Amino acid sequence: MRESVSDILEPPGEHHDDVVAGSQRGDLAAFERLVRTYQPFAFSLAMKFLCDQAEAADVVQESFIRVWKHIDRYDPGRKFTTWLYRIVANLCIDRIRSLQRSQRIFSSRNQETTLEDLPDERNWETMRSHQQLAEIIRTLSRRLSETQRLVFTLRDLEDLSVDEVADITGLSIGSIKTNLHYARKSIRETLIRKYGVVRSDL
Amino acid sequence: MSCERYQQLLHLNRPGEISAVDADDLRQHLAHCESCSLEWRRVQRADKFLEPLRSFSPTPPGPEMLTADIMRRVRDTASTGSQRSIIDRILDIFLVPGVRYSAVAAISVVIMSLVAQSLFLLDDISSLENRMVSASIRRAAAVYTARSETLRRVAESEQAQPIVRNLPLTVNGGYIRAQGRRIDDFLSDGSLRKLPAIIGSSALRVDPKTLEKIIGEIRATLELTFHAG
Repeated sequence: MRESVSDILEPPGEHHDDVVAGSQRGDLAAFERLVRTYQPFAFSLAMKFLCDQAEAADVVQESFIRVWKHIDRYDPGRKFTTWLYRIVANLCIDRIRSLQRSQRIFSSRNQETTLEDLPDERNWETMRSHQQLAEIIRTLSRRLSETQRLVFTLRDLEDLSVDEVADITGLSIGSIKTNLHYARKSIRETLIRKYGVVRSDL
Repeated sequence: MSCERYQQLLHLNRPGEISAVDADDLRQHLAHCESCSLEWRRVQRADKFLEPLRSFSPTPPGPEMLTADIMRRVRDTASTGSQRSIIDRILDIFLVPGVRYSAVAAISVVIMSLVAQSLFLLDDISSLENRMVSASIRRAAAVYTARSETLRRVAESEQAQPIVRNLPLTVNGGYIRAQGRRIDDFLSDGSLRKLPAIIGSSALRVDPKTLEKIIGEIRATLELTFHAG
């Protein structure tokens, strides 16, 4: 498992501070170092939301442009990743809304989850391609509300703590737990409908 | 606590999501509740499929290319920003509603004061013009022109020439022109009466009585012509 963004919050102190301070002064070299450091995390989050590499890369670009334009608003006393993740998550939600609108207009395809979209159990262990895993996430997330999808992605797929999810989303701890409960219940029910409960589980 | 509540807690099964007291309570409940125990096994079964998704860490297909694309757009933004930075910053200030309304109020006050000043200035100019016109009229009114046959004859008489040269008037083709103010002074300070003393009756080759008569004629003509007419 790769290093989680939680594990690097904040990455190497003084260096990170210099890079952020340099970026705030308009130093492009410093900002490029900032992009190189945080781009993988921004992409990972965007990919888990959007389940499409091109869309995710596009949102990452937009996110860093927004970071550059508004970096004077970033308070160095707070976690940079929280601020970045908030920007990425907001842009992803905007993009999902936009995609859903265009799909409603241009496609008659039923957006409901279909169990056929999930792989057979025997193939599950060998599932390694990013796009395959992204498709599974897309299938499982389809029935979730926007907020359920937001907290499920940040907490369960990105492995952030409940407090970090609260900082990023601005939701209360209680609201996060309620949405997590419904999101997980929905996803687990889908998985059980597809794969059932085997005797060894009982 | 009801089974429904316990089954809600089952779905909050990751570290830090429920309190230690709730976790202990749940454990004890699962030990003797078949329905909740089955639900817990279903959660665990489903989570086996979620595990690969939790360790899923997608990376961009071309990270260097993505960084280059980002930096190219940032440089474009930065260069555009530096060209427009002053304008942008000024406009940014005016995006704040309070500042915007204050600016509108300040601009309105400036415009109104300029209009008021313009009106006062126009009034001043008008007043100055009036004063200049009045002065011009007064100056114009101070010059009298008269056609007096008597005065012309007196003025043209050889005998009266020394007198006429000392009068504040000019005779030209039967028209007599004079500065009203000078005539007023001339008549009021008795200059006319001093004429015989000034020029002497011998110089006129007329006797004092005739001279007095000529002066009387001139006075009467001047008063009649210029004051009465």
